[in-house]
Amino acid sequence: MARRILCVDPDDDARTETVDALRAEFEAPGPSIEIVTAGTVAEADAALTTDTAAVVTEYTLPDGTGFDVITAARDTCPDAGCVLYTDVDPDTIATDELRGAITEYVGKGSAFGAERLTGLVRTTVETKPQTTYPVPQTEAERLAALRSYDLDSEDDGRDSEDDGLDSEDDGRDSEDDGLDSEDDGLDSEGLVSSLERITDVAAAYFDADQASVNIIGEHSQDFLACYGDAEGWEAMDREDSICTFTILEDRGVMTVEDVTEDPRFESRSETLLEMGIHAYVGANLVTPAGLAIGSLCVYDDEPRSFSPADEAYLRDLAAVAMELIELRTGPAAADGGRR
Amino acid sequence: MSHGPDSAYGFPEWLPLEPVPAGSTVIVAGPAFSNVEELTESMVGGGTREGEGALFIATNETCTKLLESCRRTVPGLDRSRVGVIDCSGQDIGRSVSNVQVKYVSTQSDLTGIGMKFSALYESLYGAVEGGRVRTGLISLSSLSMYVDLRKLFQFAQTLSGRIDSAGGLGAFTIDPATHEPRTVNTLSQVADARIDVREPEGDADGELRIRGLDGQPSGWQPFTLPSARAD
Repeated sequence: MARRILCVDPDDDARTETVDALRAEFEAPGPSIEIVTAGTVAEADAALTTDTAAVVTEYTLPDGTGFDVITAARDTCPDAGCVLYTDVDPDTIATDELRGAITEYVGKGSAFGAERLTGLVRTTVETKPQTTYPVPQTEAERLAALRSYDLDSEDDGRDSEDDGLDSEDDGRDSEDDGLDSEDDGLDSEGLVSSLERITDVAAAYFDADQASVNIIGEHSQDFLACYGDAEGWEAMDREDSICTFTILEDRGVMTVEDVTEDPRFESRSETLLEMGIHAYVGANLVTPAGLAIGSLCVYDDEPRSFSPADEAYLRDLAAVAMELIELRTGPAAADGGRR
Repeated sequence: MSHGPDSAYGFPEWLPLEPVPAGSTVIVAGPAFSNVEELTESMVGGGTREGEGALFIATNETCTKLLESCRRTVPGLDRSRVGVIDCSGQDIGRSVSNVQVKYVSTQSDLTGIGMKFSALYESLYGAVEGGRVRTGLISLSSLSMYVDLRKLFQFAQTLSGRIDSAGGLGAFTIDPATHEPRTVNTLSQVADARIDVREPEGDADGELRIRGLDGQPSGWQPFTLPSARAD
């Protein structure tokens, strides 16, 4: 899977220098990296996609500032790390216009500038330090496990704007991996209808209006099977998902009695309430290697509590869901000669 | 005394802590009056005695007060290697002799704090041998009164990413008594290890327990600061 670094600088020579330094840094074996460039806010805006992992931008741009680029990046690719790489002294920059958005800063003129920049971009691409949520320590293994179940979770049809760019590396659009074929993969019809029966059972047990089986990809949450109004939900940014916290739970289950009272979700509670999510219980879909690829969740539109028996029930149901996924799509299914 | 860029960060002799690997960030958690801030000053400022840089983010305390406290908690502090981001909103622009200070007018301006931290880090990184810089953030609890948890998490994780990338050492303080466990657990995920601090049973200034790193003393360890601030 290609990860994109966007490099924004109006000065051709400076931009080339930065791109060369980044290319040298990433020449070593590692995740494949694509570097794209822009000279203005408008070009940068067009070049941002959901798989942009890092944005390196000058502060002074012909049609705005680096903050405009960072604001746009926070919207399109909220997990991306942003680095202001500029000669402008941070003491002279009015930071309130970013309203608390986080950016790294590297002084372009400093003796260590280029060296610090490339090291920092590497850390940014590899560990995603600017996300607003924690990721499991086993995130890389978790994502690899998820890929082994044949769903490119980032391929949710949302990043269709990657055209007409100043791309310096062709061929990236072939990353679909041929995953979503009709008779295998996580969204195969047979598996989804089996999982839907599980969401029906879960909703009935909890007397709730909505339930779903969710997959947590690198940047997004995808709804695999849904019950009730959840059927109309589309993939959402990972930072807005509750389950991205559930997969961190050692106990394998997490409850939220009231999203408006939980410090992790209160800043997003308006959106959650609009979706009919006031209370939540989720149990993880855990692979045989112990990695959580997603969750089985039940949502209530009123605040409520959940008993230990409720948690145990949902955990059992999630285990059944995972067995189904294993049987129908996992490495075991492939070994069994289904393909 | 010289250290390679990748060697572990050691601590003054009065702290019952073994060296911590370069690139690590530690959460230092303790209630008011447990000397948690003074302990952190010692951990971070102590490195200047061996030629390292010390960068403090002072959220609710002025740079002057912080340096006053360091005089007691870090005897031999080399002020020429100290940088402070003063977010107290007081004393803006006041020059403090021998110390690099940057002011941010309000704790809610995480953008400004982050950028000035990066700029000051860079300046210290270039000035000290091997780019060895320790960072003390005092405190996460104070910042949490101004911004929501997710923003604070993002800010703290960005700092720890910078520290990791530069082979530094970070110590971020938090008062668990003022937060829900969910908040403390979430913020703790930016760190590699956690030091809990509690009031002592005997004559010591406090007791600490470190978890999450190999080769450290186990269980509660009393510590005595050179001259603690608590009465």
